[in-house]
Amino acid sequence: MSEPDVGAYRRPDNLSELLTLLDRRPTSVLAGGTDLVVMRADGMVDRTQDIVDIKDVSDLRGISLDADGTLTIGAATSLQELAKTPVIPPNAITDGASLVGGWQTRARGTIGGNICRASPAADTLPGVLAADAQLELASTTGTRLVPGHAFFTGPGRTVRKPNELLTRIIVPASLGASAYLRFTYRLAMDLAVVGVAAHLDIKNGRCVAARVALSAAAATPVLAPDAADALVGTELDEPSIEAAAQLVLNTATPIDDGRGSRAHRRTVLPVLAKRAIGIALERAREGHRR
Amino acid sequence: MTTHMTLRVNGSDHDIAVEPDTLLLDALRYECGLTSAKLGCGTGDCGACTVTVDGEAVNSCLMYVLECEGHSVETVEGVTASGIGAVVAEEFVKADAVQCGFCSPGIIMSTCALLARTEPGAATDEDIKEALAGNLCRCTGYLPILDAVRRASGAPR
Repeated sequence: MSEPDVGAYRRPDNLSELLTLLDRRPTSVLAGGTDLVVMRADGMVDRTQDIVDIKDVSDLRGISLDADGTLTIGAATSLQELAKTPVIPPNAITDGASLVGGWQTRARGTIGGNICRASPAADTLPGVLAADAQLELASTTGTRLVPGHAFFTGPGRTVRKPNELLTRIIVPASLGASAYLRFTYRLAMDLAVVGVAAHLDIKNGRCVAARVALSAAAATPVLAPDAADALVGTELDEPSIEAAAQLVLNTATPIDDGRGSRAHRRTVLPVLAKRAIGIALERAREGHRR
Repeated sequence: MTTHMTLRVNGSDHDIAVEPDTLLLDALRYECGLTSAKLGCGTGDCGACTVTVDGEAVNSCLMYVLECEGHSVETVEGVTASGIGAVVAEEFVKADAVQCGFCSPGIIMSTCALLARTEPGAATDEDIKEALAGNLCRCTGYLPILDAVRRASGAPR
C-alpha cells in the first residue's frame, strides 16, 4: 500500500487568497516553520494537509505605533525583528521574543507562530497577557478580536478555528512599563522552567493598574490576578512588591516534568515575579511607556 | 507530488526536483551537491545546518526548500571562496577553532551573517555569543571559536 500524498505547498501573496485557501480544507499554516517543520516530521501534524506559507503576505508583517499609542504587530513578524525593534522600548513581549531559541530560530520564528503553537512555556505569551493585547483572527467571513487571556485553552490548543488566521496582535497604550523574566538552567537555547511577565501602570508614583502573567506554571499561560491586585494602590515599595509576588502562587499550578519539579517551580516563581516587577518599575521610572 | 523549482545558491541557479516538504538542507546536499551544511539534531538546537538566506543565518533543517524560491541562499562553499568569508575561514584555522569540523560550516555561516550586520571591529563579545548561541560545538570548548570570530571581526573588509 502506498503512503498517502503529502499536502501541497502554497504561498499566496495576498490575504484574501490566503483565507480562501484556509476555508477550503484543513491546512497547516506555515509562518517561520521552526515548530511546524519538526511537528510534521514527527507526525504531530498531519502531513497530508496542505501547507500554506503566509510569509509573502506583506500585511502580516511589521510593527507600527499609532498616534494614540496603540501598538500593532503583524503575526508573521519575526521574533528577531520584535526583539530588536526601534519602534518601542524594551517590554515584556520584546523580552520574551529575544529569549526564544537562538539567532537562527528567532530569524525565522514569528510572534504569531509562538502564539498559535500555544506552548504553556512559550516566552512571548506572558507578555501578550500582561500587555492586555487583543489577538485578531480573520477568516473569509470576517474578523474577531480575542483578548490574550481568553485565547489559550490548553497545551497546544487555542480558540482559533481551522479556517481562521491570526493576523495582528494589538497592544493598547500604556501608562507604564513591563518586563518578562524566565528561569532556565542555561542562558541560551533553553525552554523556560517558569517565566513571569509584569506590567505596571503608574500615576503620580502610585500603581493604578497591574497585570502579572506566568509561563510554564499551568496548562496555558495565565494571568495571576491576586498578585496584580495587590500591587494596585501601592507606591511599589519593596515590601508591597514582595507581598504581591508571593501571591502568584494562588494561580500557579505547575507540573513535575523533565525541566523542573512542581515544588521547584513554586519556589522560583515568587522570586522571578519580584524581579520582573522590579524591572518593570525601573523601566517605568526611566520613562518607558510600554 | 514532485515539482520543479529554481534554487539560487552561492550566486548560481540550480533547477531541481522537489517534494512539497523537501528540506532546504536535503536539497542543498542531495540536489545541489553542496555538503557543507550538516544534519545534526533536525530540530533547530545544534546549528550544524546553518546557512544564510538573503544574508540572514537560518537553520536549513527547519525550512522547506520551496520557501527559498525567489530568495538567495549562501553556504560555506560560496562565502569562504573570497572576501570576508575567506578571512573568517582562515582565522578559524589559525585559532584552532576547528577540531572534528562537523559544526564549523554552521558556525562560519553564523559568523558571516554577524559580520555582515556589524561594522569592522564593532562586534562585542555579547554580540558574538548572541549570534553563535544556536551553534553547538562539542570539541573546542568555544574559546578558540570566540578568538577566531573576534579576529575576523577586526579584519579590514
